[in-house]
Amino acid sequence: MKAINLSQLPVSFLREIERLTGMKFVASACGGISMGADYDCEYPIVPGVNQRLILGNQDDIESITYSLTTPTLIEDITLKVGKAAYVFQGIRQSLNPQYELVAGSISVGYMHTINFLAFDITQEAKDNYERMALGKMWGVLENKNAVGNGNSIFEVYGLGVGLEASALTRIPGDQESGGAFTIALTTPEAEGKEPKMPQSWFATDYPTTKALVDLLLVP
Amino acid sequence: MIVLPKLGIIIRPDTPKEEIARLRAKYPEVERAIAKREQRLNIKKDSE
Repeated sequence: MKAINLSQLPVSFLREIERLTGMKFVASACGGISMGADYDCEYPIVPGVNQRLILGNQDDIESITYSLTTPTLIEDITLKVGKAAYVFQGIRQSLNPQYELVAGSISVGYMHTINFLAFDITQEAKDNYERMALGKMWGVLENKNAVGNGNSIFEVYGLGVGLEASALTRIPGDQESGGAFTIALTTPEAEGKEPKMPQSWFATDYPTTKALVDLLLVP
Repeated sequence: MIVLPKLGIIIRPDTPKEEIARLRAKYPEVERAIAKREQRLNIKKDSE
C-alpha cells in the first residue's frame, strides 16, 4: 500500500476533501527538517551587513503581509497612518546584528540583538535615545550580496517580542567608538524569547523589496 | 497571509471572501493592507 504525503497536496484540494467528507486534516507537529542546505560556489554568502539600520516602534506596525508560497516570508510591512521608521546610518563595521537559538528544556526561541553606534550627540538625538530606552522597537537590516542571499537580502529583527535597549553608553574619549553612542537593542529577557529567527523580507525582486522597505521612512 | 497584530486579525488564503469583505468594511487598517497588496500585485502583473 502506497502512503500519500498530504503536505505535498494543494491546500485547496485538501479543503475540498474536508468540505465533501466532513473530515478535518490537522497539521502535524512543527519539528523536523524538510530540506538540506547547499553552498553557492558562484555567489557565496558574504559576512556583514550594509551599514544602514532602519528602526521603528513596535506599536506603529499596522499590518504584515506574508508570502502565499512561503508563509513565514514577509512581503510587506505597513505602518499606521502618519507613522514612520527611521534610519540610523553606520560606517565601516559600526552596525553588528546577531541572533542565536535559546534552547530551554521545553520551549525554544531566539535572542535577537542589534549592536550599533549612533553618531548624533545633539540634544534632540539624546532625547530620542532616552525615548528609545523606554520603548519597544523592531529593525530592518540588509545583508550584503543581493544575489547569493536569495530571498534573505532584508531581515526583520524583533518582530515578535520586540527589541529593548539593553545598553546605551557614550564615552566621549573612547577612540574605538569615536565618542559615539554605543547602543545594544536586544530581545528582553524578562518577556521570553522571539519565537522565530529574524524573518526575511522579499517581494518579487530586490528593487521592489527595497522600495517597500524605504516606504517605511515616509510618514 | 496578512497579519494585523494590534487588531488580532489574520487573513489567511482560505479565509472566506465574505469574511474578508466584512473585515475590509469594518477596519480601515484591513482595507489599507489589502489595497496595498493588490496595488503591488497589479504593478507586478503590468511589468510582466
